Amino acid sequence: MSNQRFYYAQINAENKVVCKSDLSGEVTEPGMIAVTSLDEFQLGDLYENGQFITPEPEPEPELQP
Amino acid sequence: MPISNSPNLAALQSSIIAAVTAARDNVKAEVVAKATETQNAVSAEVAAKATATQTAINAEVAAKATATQTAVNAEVAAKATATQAAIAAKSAIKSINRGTTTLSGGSGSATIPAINMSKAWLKLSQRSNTATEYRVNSQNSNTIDAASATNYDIAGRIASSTSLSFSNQSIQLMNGSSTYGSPVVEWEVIEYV
Repeated sequence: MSNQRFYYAQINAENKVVCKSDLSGEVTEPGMIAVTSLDEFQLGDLYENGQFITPEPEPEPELQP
Repeated sequence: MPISNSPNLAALQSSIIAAVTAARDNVKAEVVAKATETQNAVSAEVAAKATATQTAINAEVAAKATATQTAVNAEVAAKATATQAAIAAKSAIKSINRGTTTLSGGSGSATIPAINMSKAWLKLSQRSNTATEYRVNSQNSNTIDAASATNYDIAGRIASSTSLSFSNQSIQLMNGSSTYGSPVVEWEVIEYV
């Protein structure tokens, strides 16, 4: 088993990171962004112009009675 | 007048002594010169031979060092290859892929390198929950459900040889006590030889 690892940020149609992957092989699917480390972005970040941007947190909704 | 007192004899003695002394000095000078010449020649020959011998020894040592280093390198490489092959032969695991996926609208997915689905396990764990393992079914079906029994009811399956899919059918992940967040599932696919 090879020890080489491949790290990816998987984004959806809205360019939002929906998956952090540590894979055994290279993949070339659309939406798979190769990265050097899984620490350089977070789930929910937006991928824009080659950079990961953490969006502002959404306000908490009111509790329903 | 006795002959020993003759002035001619004294002069003759003096000239003989002078001639002998000169001859002796000449012989001495010649001997010294030849000795010096011989010494120089011997020294030069010895130095040349010493240099040649040293050069030959250096070349031989260098050649032997290179040969030894080459042999050691080859032996180390061969042993490393053999050890790696032995480790690979003993390992039953062909590949491991892992990740963390956010579900949205009740579903999520992940892309993986191509695997042999009939020899793969999908392991799911949800944050703050205990991991649960699931094995592929005995029919080697191409889509293998691995429903979790954790609190948040997230199911996962190997949807194809290159993709995983996840769903949460009824329960959203509660974030604290007042808001709901997106469910997050951590997964691992272990492919065996």
